[in-house]
Amino acid sequence: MTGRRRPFQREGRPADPGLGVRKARDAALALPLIGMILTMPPVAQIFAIDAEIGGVPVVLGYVFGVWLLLVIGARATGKRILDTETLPEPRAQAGKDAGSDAEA
Amino acid sequence: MLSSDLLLAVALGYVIILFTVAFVGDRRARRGGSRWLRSPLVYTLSISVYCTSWTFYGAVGSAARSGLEFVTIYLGPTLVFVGWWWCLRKLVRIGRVHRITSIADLISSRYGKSPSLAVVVTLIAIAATTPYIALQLQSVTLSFAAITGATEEYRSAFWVAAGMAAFTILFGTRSIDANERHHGVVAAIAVEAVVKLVALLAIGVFAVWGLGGGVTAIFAEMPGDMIEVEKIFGPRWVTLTFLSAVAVLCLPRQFQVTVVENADERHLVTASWMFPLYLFLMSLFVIPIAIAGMAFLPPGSNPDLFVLNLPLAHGQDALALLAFIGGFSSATSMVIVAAIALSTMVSNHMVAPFAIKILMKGNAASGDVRELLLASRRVSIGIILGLGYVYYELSGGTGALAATGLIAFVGVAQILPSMLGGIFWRGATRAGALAGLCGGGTLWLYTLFLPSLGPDGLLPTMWLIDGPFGIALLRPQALLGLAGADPIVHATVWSLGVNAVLFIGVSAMSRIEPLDRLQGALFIDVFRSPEGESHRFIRREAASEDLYVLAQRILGAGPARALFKELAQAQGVVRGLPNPTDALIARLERELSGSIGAASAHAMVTRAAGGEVISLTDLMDIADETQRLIETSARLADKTRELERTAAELRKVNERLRRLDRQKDDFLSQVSHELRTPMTSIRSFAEILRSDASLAPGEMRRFTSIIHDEALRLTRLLDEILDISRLEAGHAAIPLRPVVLADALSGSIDTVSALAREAGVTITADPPPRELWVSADSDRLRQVLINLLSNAIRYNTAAEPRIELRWRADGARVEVDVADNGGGVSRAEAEDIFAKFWRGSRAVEGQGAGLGLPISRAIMRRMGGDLSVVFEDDGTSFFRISLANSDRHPQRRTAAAE
Repeated sequence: MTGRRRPFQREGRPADPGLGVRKARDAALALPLIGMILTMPPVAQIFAIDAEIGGVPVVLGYVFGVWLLLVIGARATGKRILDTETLPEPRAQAGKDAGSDAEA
Repeated sequence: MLSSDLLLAVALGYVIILFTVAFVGDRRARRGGSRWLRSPLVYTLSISVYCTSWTFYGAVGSAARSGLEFVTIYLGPTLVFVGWWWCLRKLVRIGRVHRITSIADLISSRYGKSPSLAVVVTLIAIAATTPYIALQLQSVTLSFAAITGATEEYRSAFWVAAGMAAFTILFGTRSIDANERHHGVVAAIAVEAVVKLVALLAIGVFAVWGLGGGVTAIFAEMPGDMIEVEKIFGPRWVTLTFLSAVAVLCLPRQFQVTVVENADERHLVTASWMFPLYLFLMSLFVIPIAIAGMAFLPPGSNPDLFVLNLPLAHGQDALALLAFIGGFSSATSMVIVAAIALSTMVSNHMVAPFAIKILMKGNAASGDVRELLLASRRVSIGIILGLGYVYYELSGGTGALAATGLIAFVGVAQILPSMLGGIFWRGATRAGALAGLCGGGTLWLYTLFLPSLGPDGLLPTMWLIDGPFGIALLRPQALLGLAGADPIVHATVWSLGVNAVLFIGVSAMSRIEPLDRLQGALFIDVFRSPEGESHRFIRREAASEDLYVLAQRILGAGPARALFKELAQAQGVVRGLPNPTDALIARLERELSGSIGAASAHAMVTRAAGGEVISLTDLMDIADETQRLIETSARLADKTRELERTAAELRKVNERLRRLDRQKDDFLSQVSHELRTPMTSIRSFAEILRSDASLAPGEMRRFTSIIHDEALRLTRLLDEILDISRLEAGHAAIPLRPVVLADALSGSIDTVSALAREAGVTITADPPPRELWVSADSDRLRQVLINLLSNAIRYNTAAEPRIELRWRADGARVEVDVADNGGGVSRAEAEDIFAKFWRGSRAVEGQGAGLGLPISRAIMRRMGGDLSVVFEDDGTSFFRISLANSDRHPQRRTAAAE
């Protein structure tokens, strides 16, 4: 391994392959829960105040801000998942599908 | 105002473009060179069929009426996609492994391939989609009327419905794909997704910067009561978010694009953030557009048409046309995909069972089932759009778009308990799912769907106000007196609550059929069981010819021939039909279910193959599979830990072996070196004596005595080496007997006293009492003590060298310390000094071979004691020998011997 060393990795020992996978999975599981907590009462209620920032109501900015953070979080998590997981190969190309032979 | 002819021409032109995209997409997909078509981007864009004209027109209307609430409709799907790892991943994998063709197919396949469940889900889906399609008709009609100023809404709605039906039939039912996938349609939907996004963003930019004069300016126009901060996050917020989250899983068209059309599970990873981003962008300008509509349009304008009326009222005809195309896109994409998904369900689950009966009676020709199914799909598309039109007319086409859409959401939410239970709960049964779906569906119809048709709809007006037959407790919108709640919240709580209770309760009480259990295990453990291994559990017998005929009838002659050829090759059969093994029958059923659904395929194969026998022992096996897997992984974890421990020990042992090997090499080279020195001097003096006869007698004697001394030294060295190797190998047994420690100490001091005097070293000793006996060999103990003392004398460099002998008896052990003021050894050297041939930093050349300490230590250890270096706190050190205290008095022992 060059450059970045994973934390807790000991010299002369292969890195635990399960650690990265588990972390990515945990992140994927946690993200929607965080989103739910932030967008549902009572947490969201905290930001339901009659005030404005730069002309935009605070509650509007809050909801859209959380939304954007969820998008960014999902993108980061997705990248990690793709790095660590082995997802199955795509389905056979349509040209090899049995159904399309009818027209062939 | 734009002319209706122009509008029709634009709409028609747009449809032709879409059709071309679909046609080209299909052709390229068939050739297999469609990398772009199978990209995650197209997949994500096709999922955005979620955004219908409800979003395009209705979201702004909803924002104008109830502020921020419209966000919930997009927040729910965002959470589901961001959390794809929980549920979507499993659905997509199940869809792929079991060749699922629709959500009804999923439910039916899970619960023992039940045909009745498939029919119930199909009926619920049609009922729920009807208001949704009506919504699309309404929005297209409204937008058309708004632009052209036409008034005959019903007639235009009818023609819109007819046109869409024709369009969908042309699009979606050109052939029956083996996997129910429509590459061309997906391509067209992706194009539409881009069009509607661009259109809505353009209107948003126009509203904010064209009309409002910037972000701050537009929000300054916001009516004070638009966002009521105290009321936003109430029960309706939670309910609507939940409903939209459910809808994105359960809506037949969403299931179609997300699960059935999925070509690659990795695309889901991209969609998990890109689809929420799409929803975010679609929602971004909704509030500003609503504000602009309220501020710049005459009071009383329909908020659902702000998107269209804003550019129209300000003479931006091109922008209005773009908005119209965007709305048209949203509506057509929804109608096409929904109609395709529903028609598949109708043909597979309602028409196919009859087709099987007809087929099995007469001698139908090859591929006739395909034709029948295609025809039934075309007819059902017509019927589905017709139902939408009827609903539109019955409801009067006046309701708010968002309110109509929510009725559909609550309807499809009825599928949720059976679906989630099916993929996560082993105890879920067919009877439970059926009870839940029927109970929930009925309550949804009664509390939401029928009342939505208005006072003069299908329910008598008096029922709505006083309840049926005057029973107030049964009022549809205040069931059991639950009045005052929002109608959507009311219907959701009642229908889903009863649904879930029935599903769980009946499941718990009913028996699980074998096929139900098998499918349940295959679904729940879909990530652990290899693809298509269900044949392990099912035993069936059939003639190859019958199966071949069956395949020809369903798949058509060409594909059936190709499939059987492939199967025969896989079995190694060169000519003729493959052998009808269990695996082959299972594979054929899977292929067929990709075309006509699991339940119908199962029924057909069962007819050809006779009743199946599900091996009970095998079933028990998979029922226990989870338990077994848990145990296995626990055992594996144990084993891993054990292996790690063993590996660590091995590493340590290996390290020690290497050190010993190094020491052995050092030892050998040291021995040779040590032996060489005396040998060399002996040889050289012997040569002198031999060659030089003229040596003086005194000289000659001196040389001879040198040779003699060196020979003695050599002998001593060899004795020592012999001694240490005997000691270390454990050959030299040292007989132990009680020794008076005081004698051993004084004897040793006497021996070295001459040496000490010579070096000017003072030895002070604290004589132990004569009663103190130690268990040792007297000579050997003296040897050790003398060695330690002479070392202390020899290497002491202090100005006033002193040696101190201390002793201490501590129960069973006796310790003797030999301390000197000569600086001792350093901590770094503490272990090295016991290595053979090691000489300290203060050693003088020619003094000892470096075997004294290792021999001493070996002796002490052989006598059950030890020799070690002890460090004081101030860094000085001394040698300590420890021995066993001898409790046996020699006299007594002697007496006993006599």
